[in-house]
Amino acid sequence: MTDVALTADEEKIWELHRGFAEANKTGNHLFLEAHMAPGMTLIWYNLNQSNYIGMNHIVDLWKMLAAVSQGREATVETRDDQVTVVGDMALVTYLLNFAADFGALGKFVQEARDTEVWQRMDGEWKLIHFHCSNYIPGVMGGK
Amino acid sequence: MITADHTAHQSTYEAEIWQLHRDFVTANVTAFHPFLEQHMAPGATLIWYNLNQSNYLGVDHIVELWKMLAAAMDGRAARFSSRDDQVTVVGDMALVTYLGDLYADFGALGIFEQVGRSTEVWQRIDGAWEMIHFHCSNHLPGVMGGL
Repeated sequence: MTDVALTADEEKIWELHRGFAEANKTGNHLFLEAHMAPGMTLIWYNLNQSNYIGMNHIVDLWKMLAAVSQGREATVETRDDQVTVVGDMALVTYLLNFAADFGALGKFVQEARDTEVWQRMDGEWKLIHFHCSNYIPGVMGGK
Repeated sequence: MITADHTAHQSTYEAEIWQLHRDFVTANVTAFHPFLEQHMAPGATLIWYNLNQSNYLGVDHIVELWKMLAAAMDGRAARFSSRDDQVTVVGDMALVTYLGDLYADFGALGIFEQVGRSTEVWQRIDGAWEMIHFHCSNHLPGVMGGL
């Protein structure tokens, strides 16, 4: 197997993707404020099946979830991660093993599929879209 | 720097993506697989996270599913309409997001009535837009302050 050298942009997207996965463990909303597209640009289709529009909307959710987690770190393990960078836009897809104890809101253990779409804005990569949903392999011949 | 040439390309590309998106929605109504063969990225490139919660990798995999679903529908067209559609084109890559209302009678497989959220990602490959990723999942508004 030959290692393929990553471009600088691919390395940056991998770093952001890994940072995003890490931030999910604790609901670190500071990562969102630093790396989500500003204002109302962000369209976030969440694993809980509801949608969050604009950065402040998802920051509010993460603050609430961090509060109910009371320091208990969630399990956020990705696999089959793929990064595609084309000019000033990038796509990341992956599968996710997620487990979290949200206190009074309950415990969640879930397999998921994830889509991240990043756009370079004024020289910085920002997340403009996120889509996370439940994953059940084996339905109608699917994987 | 945004030039007049860039602006003209941008406008053309956005029109092309809107057309492909609308045609994709229409193709869903009858599971018209020739649309997939024509407009999905070739080979194993396509990563398709389907509404049924399973994944289909490469164009041939999803074509097989659509052929099976078309046979199960036995000529009964589904109803599928999109709303809140947004198109973002950045150079040779494009993102489309939308909500969609689906009703389909798949015969022995059951009747599906569902509201979904969809993500399309298109890439301009050798001068033609090809879909490289699709993600569709159930939409349940109102959970934890979400819409």
